[in-house]
Amino acid sequence: MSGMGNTNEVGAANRAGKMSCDVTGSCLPELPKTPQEIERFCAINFARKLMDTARRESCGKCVLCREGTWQSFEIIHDITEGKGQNDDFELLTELLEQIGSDGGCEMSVKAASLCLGLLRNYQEEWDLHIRRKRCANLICKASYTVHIAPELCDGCGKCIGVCPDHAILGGGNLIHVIQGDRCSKCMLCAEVCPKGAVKKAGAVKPKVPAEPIPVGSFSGAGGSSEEGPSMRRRRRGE
Amino acid sequence: MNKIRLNIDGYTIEAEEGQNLLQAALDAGIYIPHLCYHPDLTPQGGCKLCTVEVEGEGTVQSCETIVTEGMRVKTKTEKVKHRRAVALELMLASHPKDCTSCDKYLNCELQALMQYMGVAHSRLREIDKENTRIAPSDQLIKREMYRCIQCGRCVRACQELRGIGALQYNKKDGETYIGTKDDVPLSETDCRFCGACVEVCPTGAIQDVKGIFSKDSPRNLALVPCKDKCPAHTDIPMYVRLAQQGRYSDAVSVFREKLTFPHSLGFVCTHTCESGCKRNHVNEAVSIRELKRFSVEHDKEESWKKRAFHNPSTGKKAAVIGGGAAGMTAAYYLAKKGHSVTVFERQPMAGGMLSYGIPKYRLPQDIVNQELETLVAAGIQLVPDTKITSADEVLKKGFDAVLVAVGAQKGKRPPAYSGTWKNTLDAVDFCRLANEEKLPDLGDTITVYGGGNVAFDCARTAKMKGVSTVRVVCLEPRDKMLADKEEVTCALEEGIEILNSKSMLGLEEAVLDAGEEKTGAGMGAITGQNAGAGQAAVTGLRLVNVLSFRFGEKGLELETEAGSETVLKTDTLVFATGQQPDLTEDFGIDLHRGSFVKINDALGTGKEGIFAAGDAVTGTKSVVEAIESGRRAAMSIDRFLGGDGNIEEILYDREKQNPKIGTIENFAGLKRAEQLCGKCDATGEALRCLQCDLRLDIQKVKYWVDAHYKQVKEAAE
Repeated sequence: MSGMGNTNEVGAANRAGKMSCDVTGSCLPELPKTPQEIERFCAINFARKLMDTARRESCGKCVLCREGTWQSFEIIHDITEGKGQNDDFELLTELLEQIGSDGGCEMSVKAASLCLGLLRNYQEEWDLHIRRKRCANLICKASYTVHIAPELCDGCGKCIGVCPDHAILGGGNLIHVIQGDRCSKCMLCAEVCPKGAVKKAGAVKPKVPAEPIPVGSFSGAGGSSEEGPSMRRRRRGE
Repeated sequence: MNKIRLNIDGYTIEAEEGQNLLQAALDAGIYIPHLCYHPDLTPQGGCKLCTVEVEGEGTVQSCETIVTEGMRVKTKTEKVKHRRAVALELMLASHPKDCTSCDKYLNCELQALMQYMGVAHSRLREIDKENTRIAPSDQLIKREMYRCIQCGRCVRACQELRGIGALQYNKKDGETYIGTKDDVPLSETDCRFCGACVEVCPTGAIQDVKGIFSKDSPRNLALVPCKDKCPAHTDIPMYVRLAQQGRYSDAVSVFREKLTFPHSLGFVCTHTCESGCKRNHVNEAVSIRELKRFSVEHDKEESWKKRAFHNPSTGKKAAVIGGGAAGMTAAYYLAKKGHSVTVFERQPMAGGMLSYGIPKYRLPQDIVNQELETLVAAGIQLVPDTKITSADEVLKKGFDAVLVAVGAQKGKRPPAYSGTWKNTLDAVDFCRLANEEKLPDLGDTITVYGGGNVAFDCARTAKMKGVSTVRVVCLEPRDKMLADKEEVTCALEEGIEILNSKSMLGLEEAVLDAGEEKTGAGMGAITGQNAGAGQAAVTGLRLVNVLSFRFGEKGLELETEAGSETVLKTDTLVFATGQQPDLTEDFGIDLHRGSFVKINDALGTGKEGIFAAGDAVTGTKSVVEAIESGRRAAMSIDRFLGGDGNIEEILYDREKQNPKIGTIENFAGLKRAEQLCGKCDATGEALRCLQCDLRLDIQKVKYWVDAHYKQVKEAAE
C-alpha cells in the first residue's frame, strides 16, 4: 500500500475550467488512512466508488464530466463484477487522461486524476481483476463466495433471521449452509454470527456440507466439492 | 468594430475583436465541429467538439476562446481529432442507436457530426439512463428526452433568449437530465410555446408535434401558421404585437400592406388564420379578427397613408368590370401603379357582396362605403349602374387591359329545381333584396335549402324580419356543416331550426289564384323571373334522410334511408345551393364548369389584354380571397401594361424584435376573448399570442456540408 500517497492531485483545484459549475471535489470519497481501512482496501473497488460519486455529483453540462465519469464507472463496475475486457485498462487510462486535461470543473478533474493514480499505482491489481477475475483482498463481490465454516457453526440461527435473500438453510442444532445461487454477498450474516463462522472464499473453495447436518457431525468428507468458476479460470490462466 | 487578424490552419483570416474563435472560424468558412454552441447563445464549452490547438495554449474549446491578434490555431491535428472523437463517442454511449426511427433522421446535427467525424456507436459501454424518459409531451412540443445529449441549448434559449427558464438541468437519482421544474408538463410552467427550444435542439429530443405546420409552405411561412393560412399572408404576429402595445396605427399599417378592406374584414373575415393559430393546441386561438377590427377603429393617425406609394401616370388605361372586393382591390393597386383605372359597376353602389351579399347586421354599409371611398381616393374612376355585356366592347373603348371581376351573382340550384315558382328565391337574390330593403312578404314559414354561410345569412335575416318559423335544411350532419360554427350557434340561439342530413326528393306545389296568394307578391318581378297570375307556388318540400353522400364523377351520390320521407310545409323557399357568375358565351371569353371564367396562371383569360379574378373565377369564396385574387390580378395586369408587377409596400418599418418575451402569469391558461370591449381587452387578447414569428429570428446552424464551408474567406493582404 506504499504508493497510496502518490495519486496525482497536483493542480486539480487550479484546473477548474471556464464553466459555471458549483460542484467541487470535496464530495469525492477519500482514500483510506487507518491501517484497518488499508487492510480492507481494493483499489478497483475504491475507483468504482470514486467514479460513481463523480457521475452522480456531475452538474451535467460538460460531456466529459457527465458521460466520461459515467462511462469510467461502467467500465470499472464491469471489472469488479469479473466482466472486465482485455483493453479496459488502456481505455480507462485514455478516458481519464482526457477528463483530467479537458474536464471543465474541479470535481471531474480531481476524480479523474485520483483514479489515474489508482491505475498507475495498482497496475497488478487491475491486471488481476481484469484478466483473472480475482480481487486479492476479496473485496469485489465477483471474486469471492460466502460460506459458513462447519467446524465453527453452533446452529444458533441468528444468520437466518437477518438474511435478506433467504439464502441460508438450517435449523435447531444443525450446521447452517449458505445457498450460493441465492446469496447476494451482503455480509449481514457475518455481522451477527457470534462464532465468526461466516467466511469469504476466493479461488479455493473449502469443503462444506451440501445441506444442514447436526452440529459436530461434519467430517470434511461427502460435502460440496463445488469449485467456483474462478478456480477453473485460474487454472486455465496459468 | 475593430478587425483583427489570426491564422487558422495556415489561412490568415479576419475576425471581429471580442469574437470567439469558433464563430470567427465559421464566419471565415473554416468548419469546426460543434454541438452545444449556437451563435445566438452564450458558449457553454460542454460538448468538447470544438476543441482546437492554439499555439502556446495547448488544446482549448474554441467557443470559449476569444480571438487575439496574431493567434495561431490548428483545427485538424490528430490530437484534436482524437479528443473530439472521444467526446462524441461518450455522447453516443447513452444515445439511441437507431437513427431511422427518429423523426429528425437526416435533419439531425448529431447525425451530421457522426458522419463528419466518422464516429459510430463504439467500443464504449452502452449506458441506459432512467430519468431521461421523464418527459410528458405537450400539445405543441414533443419531447423524446432519451434522444437528448444534454447540450443545454434549449435551457439557454429559454433562459437567455426568452427570459423564461421553463427548462432546466434536473437531477434525480444521480442522473442529470433536461426537464421542467418538478417534471410538470410545459403547460404548467412559464412556457410561452414560442418554439425556441425546438428550433435550437440539435437532435430529435425536442420537436414540433406533427401536423401543426403545413409541409407545402416555405419555412418562413410554415412556422407562422396564421400568416401561412391567411390567403393574403398578412403579417399577423406583427400586428397582434403592435396591437398589444397599443400602437393601433402601426398595426393598421401592417395589415394595410396586404389588405384593402381591413375594417370590413374585421367584421366578416372567414379568419382561416385563427384555425391555423398554434394557440388552438394550447387552448383557443387568438381572436385575430377582433384585434384587426379593434385596431382599425382605434387608429387615429392613419399613418399608413403617408407611406403608401403612388407612381406617376403611365398613360395606360385599365378597365375593371365589377366593383366588388376583387375588382376594387385590383383597381386600387393599378391606380397606385400609375394607370388610369375605370371600374364599371352594374349596381348603384360598389362593394359587390360587401354591399349586396353580406347582411347589414353583420357588416354595416357605412363601413363598406368608407373603405370604398379610401380606395377610390387613390384615383379610381367609378362608374355605377353600368352593366357590361361584352369584354371586347370595353377593349374597343380604348382600354389597354380589362379585368373581369363580376363575381358570382347568380344562384345555382340542383338541376331538378331550375323551374320558376312565385315563392322561391335564390340566396344571392334574397340577400341583395334584403340589403336593398326590398324583400317581399315571406309568409310565416321560410325554408332555406343549403348549409353554408350564405344559407345562414338568409335564415338569420328572415328571422330578424319577423318570420316566425325559419328552417335550414342541409345534406351535411351537424358536425360537418360548411357554415362557420359561430353562425350555426347564433342561428340556434335565435330560434332557427336546423334539419341536418336531409335531401330534397321533390317539391309540392299548387297553383293559387291571385286572391289566395299569400306570399310572393311581386317576387318574380323583382328577381327578373317571368311571374304572372296563376303561376305555380311551392307549398312544401319532400325530404328524405341521408345516410351518406359524396360528390363523385356523376355529381352528387346519395345513400338515403328507406321509408324516411317527410313533407315540410313552407311559405317561402330559398335555395342556398351555390352561386355562379352571371356570364354567357356572348361575353367573349372562355367559360368552363357552367359560367366560370377559365384563366391561366397569370389570371389571363386567353384573350389578349383580358384578365379575370375573384369569385367569377373561383366560385364563392371569402372576401380575403377576393382581395388576394385582386392583388394578383393587379400584378399581372401591371406587367402586361409594361410595369414591373411589384405592388408590395412597406407601410410599417419592422424594428428588430426583442426576443426576450419574459413570463406572464398563467400564460397557457389565458382564455380567449370573443369580443373586445376596450383597450384592456385588446391588450389582454393580443398578449395571448405565441409570437411564432420570433422563431424565425433564431439563426440556423449550418451543417458541415454547407456551401459556406467550401471555400475559406481569407483576409486580403
